[in-house]
Amino acid sequence: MDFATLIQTQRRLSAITSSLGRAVAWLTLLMVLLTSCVVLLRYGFNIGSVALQESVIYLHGIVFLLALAYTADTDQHVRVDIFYRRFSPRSQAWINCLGSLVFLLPFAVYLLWVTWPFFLNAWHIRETSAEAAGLPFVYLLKGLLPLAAASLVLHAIGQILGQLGHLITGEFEQ
Amino acid sequence: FTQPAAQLSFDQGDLKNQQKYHWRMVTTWPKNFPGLGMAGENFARWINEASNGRIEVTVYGANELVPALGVFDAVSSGSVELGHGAAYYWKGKIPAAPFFTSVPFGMNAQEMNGWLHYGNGGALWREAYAPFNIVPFAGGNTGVQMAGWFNKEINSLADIQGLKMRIPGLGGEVFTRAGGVAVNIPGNELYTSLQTGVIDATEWVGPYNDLAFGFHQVAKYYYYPGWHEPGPTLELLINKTALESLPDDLQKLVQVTARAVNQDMLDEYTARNNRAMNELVNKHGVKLRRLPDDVLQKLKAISVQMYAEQSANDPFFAKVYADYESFLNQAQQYHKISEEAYYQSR
Amino acid sequence: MIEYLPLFLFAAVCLALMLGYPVAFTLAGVALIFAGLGILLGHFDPNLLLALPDRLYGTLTNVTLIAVPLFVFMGVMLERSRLAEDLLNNMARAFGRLPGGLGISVILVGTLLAASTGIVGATVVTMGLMSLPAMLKRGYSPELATGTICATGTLGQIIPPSIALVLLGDVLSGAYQQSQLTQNIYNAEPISVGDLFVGALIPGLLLVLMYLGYLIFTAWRAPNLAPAGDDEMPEWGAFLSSLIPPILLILLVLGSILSGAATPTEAAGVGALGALLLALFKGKLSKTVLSDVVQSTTRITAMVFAILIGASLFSLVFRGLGGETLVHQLFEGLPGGVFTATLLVMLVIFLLGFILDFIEITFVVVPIIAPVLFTMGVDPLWLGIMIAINLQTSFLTPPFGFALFYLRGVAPDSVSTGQIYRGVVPYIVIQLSLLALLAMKPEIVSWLPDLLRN
Ligand code: NA
Ligand code: NA
Repeated sequence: MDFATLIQTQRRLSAITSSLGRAVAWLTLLMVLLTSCVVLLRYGFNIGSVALQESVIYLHGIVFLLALAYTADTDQHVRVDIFYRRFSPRSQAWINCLGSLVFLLPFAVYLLWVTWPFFLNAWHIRETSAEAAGLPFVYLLKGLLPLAAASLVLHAIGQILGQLGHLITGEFEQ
Repeated sequence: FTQPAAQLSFDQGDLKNQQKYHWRMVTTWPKNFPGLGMAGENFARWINEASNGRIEVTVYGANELVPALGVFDAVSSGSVELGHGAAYYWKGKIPAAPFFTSVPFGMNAQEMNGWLHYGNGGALWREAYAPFNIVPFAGGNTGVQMAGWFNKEINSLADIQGLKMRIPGLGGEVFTRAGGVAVNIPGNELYTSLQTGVIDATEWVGPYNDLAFGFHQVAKYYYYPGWHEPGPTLELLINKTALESLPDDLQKLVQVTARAVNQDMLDEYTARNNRAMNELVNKHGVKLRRLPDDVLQKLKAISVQMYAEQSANDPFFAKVYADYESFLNQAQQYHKISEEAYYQSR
Repeated sequence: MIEYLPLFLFAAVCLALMLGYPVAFTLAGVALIFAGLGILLGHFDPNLLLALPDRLYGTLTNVTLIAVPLFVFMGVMLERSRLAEDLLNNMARAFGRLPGGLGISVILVGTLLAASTGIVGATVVTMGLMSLPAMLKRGYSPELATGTICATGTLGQIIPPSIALVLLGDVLSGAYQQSQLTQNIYNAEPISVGDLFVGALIPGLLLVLMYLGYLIFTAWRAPNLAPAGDDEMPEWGAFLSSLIPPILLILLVLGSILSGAATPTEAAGVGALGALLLALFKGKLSKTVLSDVVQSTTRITAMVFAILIGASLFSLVFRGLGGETLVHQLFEGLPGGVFTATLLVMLVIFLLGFILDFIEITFVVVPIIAPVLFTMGVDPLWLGIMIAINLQTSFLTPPFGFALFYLRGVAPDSVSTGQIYRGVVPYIVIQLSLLALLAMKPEIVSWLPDLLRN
């Protein structure tokens, strides 16, 4: 396998997760508007909507779960970088490659394995809100968990291949 | 002295009888929650003592292993063996579930116990939970609850128009249809929301729990009766596979201990509620009020209509409701000339 | 030996974190490895691993936590539209050319945010985005700047409305009642969340004063650490147009809570909308800015929740390995004497704060230890406030100081993690001094509640 292909593969995987993250980001604006709407309707017009309240929960879930990998792609997850920041690019690449292999990939695979039946069980009975006036899509909300897990699996594989590519070619991104 | 030789040889059955079972229980209540939370603790302690240590149960409060509303799924998946909660939390999975806890204008504690243990209620409940690999047992009852804490006086039906109340479940649906505004407020924001006026009213449990929460500090009126929760049955959830792995004697012991826990909670609330109510009224000056008749009549009419609608949507709901209603009708007729007549005579 | 596995888990996580791989995934990965180890050694029930989806779903549907993205949105919008920077600069100017003036304004703005949000993550992130660049530009020492922001961010813990006090009040009222019941005292005077709110007000404001005192003292002794602003007082028109709208915004958040229009979570949404409208009216809202704001909000939110997810698996495995039994043993056989017992409890909570977060401690440790102290006659309100302030330090103590993580996540690369760690030390000392003061003068806590009660 060509080593540049490794880096290319990583970029392609990253493009998938990143475009997903960038798309869901706009939902934060919708969250702001809907939350204000809930307040205005209740305080100003004595109208309560459990469904509207729940829709904010749904948006919140979509945003933070489907942006996990995107945030990782943009390297925005917090690191304890007392030593890391002083390491050479090669050492940093090693840490990211091995960290993804030993920490992230097993976790992401486990997460996918354990949330998939969790989603399926809800899907089979088309689980709805426990509130009479709530949204009837609890199964979709639960489905976000395996989706997030899958995106983390993609990110981990991308990292392992990409960092390996950098280590072998000796070319590091700044 | 020395052991008789015969005791040293045992068959497979004896081996199973010697085995120790370490079980976990997750609950929908915080650790040490007064009343409701004690059922799990009591079950754990009593079954351990009665089984001479063969069953050991570790109890986890809400959010320790799983969040409050994750109890059902955790028992179902087998990540824990036991759960303690209330069936109406699982309405999103089983539309008929509220009947096994409490429904507006439904049965009181005495009648629920009769329906579940000597009527068809228990069998219907087990049928509802069977697809989830869970066996339910009645695990406590609070008795008739209070209608809730209000910061506005309710003198007629007009007063609940636009009234913002935290009231979940079927009660909330009925309240909305009657012109109220059912608001969803998380438990930890309840106190402040009532204080600042985000909501005008909230329901909780009864005097014993409400006094501990301190609602009297932020609400003026305490209304009765608890039309929306007239006698909630709490539940003990057991993973079916785990239950069936027990030898017969321990399975029986689980059943009997659940029965004891179920009765014990009602006994505790009977002893504590009146003392707490006395303190709320005499020490804290809480204004006790009865909901007006026209409000109760309207809420009841809406409830009956709602059951009919939901029966049309879900065959199992219809099946449970038909049985529930016929049991309630019979019990009610006799209770009119027994319990009710006696209450009025003393 | 095997019963110490939870301790090895802690040690291993601490070491692994030093590698610099993202905290969230390190927490999860190391926990998973230890779960595997525990399964191999027959010391961990693999079924427990099935509980993670329930835990994550609980986080997903936790309405209180929705305040995080909303407050972050508000903070990012204030920052990207340069409104917050203007506010902070003008606040600093309003304080004349006092040394440490910008720091003072940071503490005051942070106090106002604390009085409206109560969520440490959101406050630290908001303040970090709003004020750190401005302070560094002004020539503040990175230690003082980051320490002040982290400590100010944790004020949300103690200044009501506070989610920490709500959780603590919930747990304490149960524990208190339980301890009274075991002594056959029924219907004891209950302790409620409202009591804690009132009781926390004066200690919270006292803490703000102590922060201010420290900052002013530092600026007076070493002016180069917190240089005075050399700008001229701006024109009144420009000054007001930058000062009033953001203050209105904070008042909007506070006002919507106090007027009963909104819960704290909802008020975060109202505040975010307010920030959006302000940017619009000031002509600072372009599609680029908006896109920037939503992307930033999303990444910061995902960063915060990733840590929650990692911590969720970590604490599940910790419990599964018998960590709670180990904690139990620590508290068993407390030595006699109320003072010694309380001191020991406070010390243990402080030390646990290095490695656990406040929710873990509130839910795991407090129910175990509080009844012991209540039986000895400790006042529940006083204990609640003491624990709350003590838990506040857990946000600042490395390696698991969430305020540190959150600030690290938004701080520029020019600031080193070591500088952040060193910066919070004086503030931790201040918080411990306040604890000592409250131990000597408990009436600081009880005065206001007593006054309101009578
Ligand atoms: Na606060
Ligand atoms: Na810490």
